[in-house]
Amino acid sequence: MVSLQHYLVLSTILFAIGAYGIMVRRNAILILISIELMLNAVNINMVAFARFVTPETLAGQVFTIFAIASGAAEVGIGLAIILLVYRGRATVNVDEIDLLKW
Amino acid sequence: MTGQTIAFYLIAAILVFGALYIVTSKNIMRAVFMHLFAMVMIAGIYVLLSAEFLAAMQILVYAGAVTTMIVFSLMLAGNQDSPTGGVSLDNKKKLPALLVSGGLFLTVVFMIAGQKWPSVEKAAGLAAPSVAAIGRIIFSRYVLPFEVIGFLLLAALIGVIVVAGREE
Repeated sequence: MVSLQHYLVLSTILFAIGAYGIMVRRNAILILISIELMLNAVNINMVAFARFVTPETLAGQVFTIFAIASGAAEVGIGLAIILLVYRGRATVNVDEIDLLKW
Repeated sequence: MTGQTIAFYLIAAILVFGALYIVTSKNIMRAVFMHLFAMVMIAGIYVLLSAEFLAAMQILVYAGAVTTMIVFSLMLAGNQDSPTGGVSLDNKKKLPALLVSGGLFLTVVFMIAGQKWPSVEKAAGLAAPSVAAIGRIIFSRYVLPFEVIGFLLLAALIGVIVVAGREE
């Protein structure tokens, strides 16, 4: 029997791995992928809670749909910004994009 | 050991392996394709939670659209001469990052273990929530968030064209 804790721990593992990726990666695209991983960990949490706590209201599933939509918008904007930075600086490594750092 | 348990552990193992591969791979293209793989596995988790519509959405949006966008931006903004561009994809702060994310993981798992959670699936006898039910609730109770998210997507679309579409 798979209980709610199993899903919560799985989502925590994914969230921690995503956080590690954000801290350790230099490439902006890989950082974006790590952010996606964390976002999906949260979505698993929401769907698991919806299934185990309030299966009759569907609220968790509906909000996961909204989270997926805003995640897609976030990826689009993020990749556009990365493209723009690449045109200007010819790099996507976040430690070389330091114009605001003095 | 029911089929559901076996499926959960199998999917979870593949998912965690894929996630670890994403954050440790030396090849950016392989990391992107492992991301696609992990997204499909998360769709499998949604199926286990009897959220079939979400599984379909996950595959359409994340495995389909987002991965395609990332591959295209890799083509436009990646380094052309080698997959890793000859420079390291990681910075030098692996140990602090490991400590922080490991501490985060241990804290959250400790908190999860200290709580009492509802252990029985209340919906065991319930028919799987159909797509029709989701559609009905989106267009009745959650119609305002739905409109807001539509506006957000429109704004993102215009923003992407304005930001990345210029070529001079």
